[in-house]
Amino acid sequence: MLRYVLKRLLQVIPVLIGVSIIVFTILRVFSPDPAPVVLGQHATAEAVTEWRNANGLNDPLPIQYFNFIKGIFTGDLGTSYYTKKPVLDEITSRFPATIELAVLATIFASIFGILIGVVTAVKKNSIWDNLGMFFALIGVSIPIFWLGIMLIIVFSGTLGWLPSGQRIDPLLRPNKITGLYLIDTLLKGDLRAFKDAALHLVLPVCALGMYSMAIIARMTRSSMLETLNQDYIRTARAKGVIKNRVIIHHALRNALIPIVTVIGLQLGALLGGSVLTETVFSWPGIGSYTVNCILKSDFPVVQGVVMLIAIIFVLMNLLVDIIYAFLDPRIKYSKKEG
Amino acid sequence: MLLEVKNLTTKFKSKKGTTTAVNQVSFHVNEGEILAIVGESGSGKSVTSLSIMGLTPGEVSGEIIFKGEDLKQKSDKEMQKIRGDKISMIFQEPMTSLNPVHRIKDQLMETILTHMDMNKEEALKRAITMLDLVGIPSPEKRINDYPHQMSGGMRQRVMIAMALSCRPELLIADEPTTALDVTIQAQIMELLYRLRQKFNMAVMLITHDLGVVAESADRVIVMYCGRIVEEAPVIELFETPKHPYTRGLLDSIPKIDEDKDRLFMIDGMVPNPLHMPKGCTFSDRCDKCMDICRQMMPALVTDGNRSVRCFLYHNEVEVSE
Repeated sequence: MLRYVLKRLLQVIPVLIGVSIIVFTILRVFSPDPAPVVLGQHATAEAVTEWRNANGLNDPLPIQYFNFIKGIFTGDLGTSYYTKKPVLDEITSRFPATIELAVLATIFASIFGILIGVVTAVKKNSIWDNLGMFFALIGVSIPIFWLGIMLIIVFSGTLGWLPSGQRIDPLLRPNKITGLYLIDTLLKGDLRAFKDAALHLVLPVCALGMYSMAIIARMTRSSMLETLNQDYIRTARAKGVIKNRVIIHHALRNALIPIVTVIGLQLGALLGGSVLTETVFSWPGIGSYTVNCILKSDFPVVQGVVMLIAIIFVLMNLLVDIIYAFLDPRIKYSKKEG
Repeated sequence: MLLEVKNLTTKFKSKKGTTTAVNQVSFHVNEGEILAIVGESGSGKSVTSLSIMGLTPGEVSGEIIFKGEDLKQKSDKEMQKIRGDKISMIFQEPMTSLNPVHRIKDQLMETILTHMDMNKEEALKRAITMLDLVGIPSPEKRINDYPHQMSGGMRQRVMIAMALSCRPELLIADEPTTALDVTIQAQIMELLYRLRQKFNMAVMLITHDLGVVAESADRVIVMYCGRIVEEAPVIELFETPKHPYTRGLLDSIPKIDEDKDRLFMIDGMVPNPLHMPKGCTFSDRCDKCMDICRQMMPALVTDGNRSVRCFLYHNEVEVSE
């Protein structure tokens, strides 16, 4: 298993090199010159040249690429053209917000998605099946931003139950330890702040998790329908095993592999930042920030974020593959057992 | 009498219409005997056994009296207690009948812990004993295996160990040897025969292999299109088969001392269950078919220890439902 993980980690390298070349090429070759955007359209030619020299944009492309790669290894991803802060700081200050939102949305989506999938599969063709699948259909079809706005109007506006923007009441903001407010507030023992942070999460988590939940529900249903027809389910029933145990211990356990794949991919995608949800809920995450930086041609930030997302995605895939081996003993990654 | 089945009828409803997979089947199983149910694919023998277990999705009517109690009146929970404990079942496909993601140990212990008042340690001990009993070498090691690490014959042995771990009084063996190769078939049958005697349990052996029947069964029921067409003690059935279908089945066994270019076969195909012939369901394929056979369904008439459903022997017509 360890060998397999190491091998897979080595395979990650060419993927990341590919990503770095693509993002570099798009930014340096196909994007417009950032200088007029940063300095303003009335900037003098000298100012532009000086700025380009200062930011290394007049160097030959291979040198620029080399500096970019060198920066990745030394942890120096450059500085933002606008804030003049190191890109790494910019990312780390925003990324926890995205992690918190993405992980909770995925947990929400997994729990309810699997629940809906199992119930609809077990009660196939019943009213529950139809209801569940109708709900899932709505989930995949509804635009996230619209759902977000509706949730804000209803639960925040009309009913006034939940806050609608930002991560926490500014007065309760905890000092940064992990940057994950739920954890930071708990570490500080500040339950009031914890509750406030949790309440701030409810609506964005629902909005962001809805699509993933629908996907997971549909995948769970089809996977469960397949396993429920297997011979070993009949064996389990013939043994006198009670129904719920047959469903969970025997059927769901076997149905999990495709479900885990979907969950992993969804989490990977959500960790890349959800522009729409973050925008609607003015959530200070990485997604909306990156889009802003793209629009402002803030090259170092865009490069850094894209590389980070690529790494996360690749690692999520590896994690999913490792989980497979735990779920299904027939999958062995070492050569010995073939 | 251990099990008495009266007028068992199992119907499946689909968009195309209702199919009667088992039609008015009545038979009994005595304590400790091996009753073979023979028939080709689609004759309703597997559905009969699943109906007894309460495991078919079809609509079941009739009475299934096990030790004086009608299983059809039992709730789901009561049936769960009987399945795997009093009545066990093994299946045709050992390769797919075990759950691939759980160890043999967990699957065996699950049955034991479900039905017996034991702690995990005792259950594990019993599981190992059972594996030993069904002839798995070094059971204390193999019990940690996953199903995919075992061969088909081994897996069927595990299935048998699992089915017998709570000492059932009735074992329903649904084509237990069909998916195995011939040498393994003989071993598995030998094992079943030996364990039957050891535990004094009754076996309902469902098969299409008359060779297996001849070697092991006490009594035989021949089914065709969801109905019993003949019932007889095993020796009498092989010596004097009555129903033309039974004769056809026996004639289609190739004999080693015969010099024949072509093997015998029963002409035609099993009729589509949605379009059964009028009259006797076998009339289309029968070489002794008479006019009446195409008009009416003969009744199953019992004479002594033999029953047959054929107008060659009597004139009684089945009263339809």
